[in-house]
Amino acid sequence: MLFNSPEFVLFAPLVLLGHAALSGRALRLWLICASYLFYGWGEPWYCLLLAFSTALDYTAALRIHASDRAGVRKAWLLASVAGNLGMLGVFKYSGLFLRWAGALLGAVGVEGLSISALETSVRLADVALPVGISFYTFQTLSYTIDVYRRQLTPTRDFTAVALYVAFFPQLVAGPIERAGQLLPQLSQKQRRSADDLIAGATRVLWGLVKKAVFADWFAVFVADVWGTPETATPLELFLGLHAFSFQLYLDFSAYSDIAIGLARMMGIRLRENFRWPFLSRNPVEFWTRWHISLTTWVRDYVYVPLGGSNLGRNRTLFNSLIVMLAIGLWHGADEKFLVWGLVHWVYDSLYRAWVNKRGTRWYRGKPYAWSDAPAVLFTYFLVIPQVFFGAPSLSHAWVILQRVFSPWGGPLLSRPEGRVAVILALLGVAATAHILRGLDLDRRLRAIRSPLAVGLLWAGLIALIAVGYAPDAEQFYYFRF
Amino acid sequence: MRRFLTTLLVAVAALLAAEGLARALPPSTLHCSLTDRNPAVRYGWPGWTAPRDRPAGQRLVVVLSNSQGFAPELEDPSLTWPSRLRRRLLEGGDAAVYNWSLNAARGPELAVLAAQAGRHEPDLVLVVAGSGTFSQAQATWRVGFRANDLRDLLADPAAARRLPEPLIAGLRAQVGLRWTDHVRARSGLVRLRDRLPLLEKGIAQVAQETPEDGGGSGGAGGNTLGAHRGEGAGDALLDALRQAAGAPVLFVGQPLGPGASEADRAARRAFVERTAARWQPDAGASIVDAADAVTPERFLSLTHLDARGHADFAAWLGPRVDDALTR
Repeated sequence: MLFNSPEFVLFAPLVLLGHAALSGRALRLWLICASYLFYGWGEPWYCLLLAFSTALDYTAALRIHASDRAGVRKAWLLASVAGNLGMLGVFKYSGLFLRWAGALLGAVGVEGLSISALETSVRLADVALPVGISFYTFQTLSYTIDVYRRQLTPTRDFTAVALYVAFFPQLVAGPIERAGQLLPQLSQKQRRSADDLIAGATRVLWGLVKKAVFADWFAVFVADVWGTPETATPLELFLGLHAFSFQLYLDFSAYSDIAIGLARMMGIRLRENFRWPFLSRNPVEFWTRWHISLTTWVRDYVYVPLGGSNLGRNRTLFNSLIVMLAIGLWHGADEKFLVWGLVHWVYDSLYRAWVNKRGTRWYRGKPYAWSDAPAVLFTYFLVIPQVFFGAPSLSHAWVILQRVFSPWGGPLLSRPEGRVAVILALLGVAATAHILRGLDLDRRLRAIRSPLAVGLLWAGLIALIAVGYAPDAEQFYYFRF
Repeated sequence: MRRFLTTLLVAVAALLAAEGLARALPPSTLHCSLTDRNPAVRYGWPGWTAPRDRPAGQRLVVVLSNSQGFAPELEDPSLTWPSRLRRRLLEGGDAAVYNWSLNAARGPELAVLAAQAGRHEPDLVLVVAGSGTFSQAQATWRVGFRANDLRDLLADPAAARRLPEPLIAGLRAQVGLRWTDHVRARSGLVRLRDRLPLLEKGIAQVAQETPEDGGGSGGAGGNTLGAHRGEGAGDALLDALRQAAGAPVLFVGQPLGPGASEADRAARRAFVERTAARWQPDAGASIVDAADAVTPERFLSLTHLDARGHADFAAWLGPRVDDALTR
């Protein structure tokens, strides 16, 4: 079920009413049923994967906790890791790995064998990617790893673990939660105030506006010009770079907004996933503002165990390369995501080298000033590697970059001027919102709490969706991961 | 909780007020009479074809055709035969021609548009199409309407009740009409979109089709009328169009291009004779064949006319339209 689907307009109030009426185990069972209904709406068999992951990690966590023998603990941890990553490998990466294996076999001269055997395997593996599998496998993995590290005591309440894995607001596209934060909130009903309800509903509506009025319009333009880059002008492709970056940010952060808002309406606090990433003043800061729940997950469970930045400059470079490639590959089974990760690693490494040499300040956590504008503008050019993320293929991405960075000749536009004007207007609004936020000029707006003002705001947001929605309602971009 | 409910109440009241204001506004200025072709091509048909007041005594002809009427190859729309027809009609007094031609239009789309045309109470609905338009299977929204537009038109009871229930039911099943479509079709707020030319231009000629819009062409549930298909279904569809228009209808078998075979001509003749016989008792409906109205050298391609071809066809059409209007 999609947040922006008609069914969800009926589903969400029903679940919230149930939440208000129930408590304890009955409430957890209600939310589990709602979450499985939400997840299995289009493909009921996906629920089996969810149930498998839940059962595996519930058992593994209890066994790890119960044993003092290092071997047993490690074996159960490995079982959890292998089970979850194995599921991910089969459904998400088997096609890519088999393609690589085929190329390798072809390169060493066993082409005949590779074609017959591997084509069959690829066909067998050609199954639809279950929605959200990358999100909930990482979330559930963190549970067993934290128990293994003795940072968390596992719960014996199966319904709490089942709800932790399946909690519908953040199930299919995050934020990727940690058991230490979410499990206690799910184990007993949280008190919710009128503030929670109002702030949560506002957040949900705001997310829907970001999705329907902004992200979907950008999606229409990007699909058009990037789908056939040969027919688009360099200016349109350049605009496409910006439109896609904002599309990705607004689409994904819209999902996070809706998830956080819905959870808050149940009194549950989810972690923030984005903090205005285009206000970053350097590439390192960018990663503290973009898909925070994934970057912190990779930091805690990959980067730090590899040694982080404590083992010298070269090892730090290597570790950050592994992290960037892992983040790239997490997004999709395609070489273009590896290139995307690699380019971000280059940005990151160059910046670190520059900082080491010049001793430039890191900015992190400091308030903005107009003097930060050049740094923000410079970092904004992180939009360029996004082409590897959004273009249909690597070859499309190369064509787009070649055309954008070659001398611009010929007509400026090949698409209707009106369509380009819509995109420019939306980019202008998004950029203005960033500037207002960066300079903290929206503080008074955020502080408004009167029912009259908030009610009018809600009506305005709904009216904005009614009038300004894009012609093709797209599903959320991160559903494909 | 009380604060939340108060906020909710304020929001609902404000939305209702906004909806009331939107409904009270005069009709949109973005309307089919202001230009020669729908600028959105595949989008915005409900707003584009919505009825509006027209000057007393103005004669109105609504043209329903395919790419022969839309003429995508002619940059200047004033060169198309519907425009030339309008100029001819203007010589005899105030007149308007709405060109609702749609590239690759099929029978169900033309029937839905005819139902919409009927709401304008036109003096004539001029349909220019081939005989295959009403009998070849092809998924409706693949080639013409966007699914959302078709949903909007079908959800609009004023248009939908003019069409036979089996056709409506079949089309609704194809596009998957949902309760939100009914809300959207009746919402004054949503109709405010028609007042935003930038938005309309923004969606003009966007993507060709999307997977959401249905399966491949020619799939099951394509150009059907209920459970019927083939020649009989095509006839029923054409009759449904005639009834939905609720106005005199002149069907013109479109000019055949240089690639037309003798079999094509024979099929056209049979179609025209069969339809003429069926429509004979109805004085308000007639059919003529323009198979040879334009010489082959006036075609740019197998089916598309050049500018001179449009002029020739308009000259051929003029007296027949005059005749239908005075009948």
